[in-house]
Amino acid sequence: MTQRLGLIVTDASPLITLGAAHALACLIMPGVPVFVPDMVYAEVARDMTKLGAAEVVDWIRMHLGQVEIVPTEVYAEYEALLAINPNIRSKGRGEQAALEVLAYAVAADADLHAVLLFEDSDIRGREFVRVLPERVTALSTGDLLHELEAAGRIQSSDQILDEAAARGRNVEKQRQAIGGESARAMLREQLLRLDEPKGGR
Amino acid sequence: MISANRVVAYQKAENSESFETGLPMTESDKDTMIRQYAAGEITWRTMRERGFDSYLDVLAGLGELGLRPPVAPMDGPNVAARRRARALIREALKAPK
Repeated sequence: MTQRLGLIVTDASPLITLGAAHALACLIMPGVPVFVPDMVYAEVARDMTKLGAAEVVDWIRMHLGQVEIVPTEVYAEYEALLAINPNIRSKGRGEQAALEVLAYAVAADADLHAVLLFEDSDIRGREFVRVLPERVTALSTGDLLHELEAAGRIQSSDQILDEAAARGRNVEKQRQAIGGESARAMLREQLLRLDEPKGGR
Repeated sequence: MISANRVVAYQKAENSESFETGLPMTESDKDTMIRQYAAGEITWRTMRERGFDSYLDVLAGLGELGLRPPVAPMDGPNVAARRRARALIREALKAPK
């Protein structure tokens, strides 16, 4: 039986890279739903005014339906820990949340094949694929860009990566502190929207 | 429910600036790590463990040094999985919408 891709779940670094390069459209070019775990969204949105983050938030808002923020226990636990220590870092939790979302999605649909979009150096260097759920495989930002380039959907993957780094150069200048609470409030607002009954408006 | 032991373990980890030295990173340390990262010598996970908190900081460092994010060559332990994923993406891109 032919395997067909039904879902892309993304970690934070591909979102940040593509957001910085104004290239988030790449994520929806394969034409399948894109799930952003709430923990990943929180990592990206935490520093809303840093370069790239605002683009990610705007893009998710503009593509609700194609792109969904998905709740996880990992994020719920992180919120509880934040109450104890407001300076707690999120390290590694985005990845755990992505695995949680993938496990749930493939368990709910016996025919679903999904891809976890991940950062290039980690995908190359770490033997993490063995922890992926059945019918889930992994792809790096570079892999995705190369496939889009080969299919003639983007001009150049190098150009996108150069743009991300070039805009990153200005990140320190553009950085303005914003409370973590503001980012979390935005996340709550996004999740509440997803809970609203569809078709009623 | 989160156990008290787990909370203590998290707090211990959060209190260290660098897992390797216990000291904050200097600018020179950061530049060295960014160059190693761009060259594919260390992973983002390693950088995170050594004190980088956000991938945006990595992008910023790459931009400052005139480097670009690394693209993983097709080797390492996950090559078969990556090939499968690329084939799925390729087919999805061909599918009529």
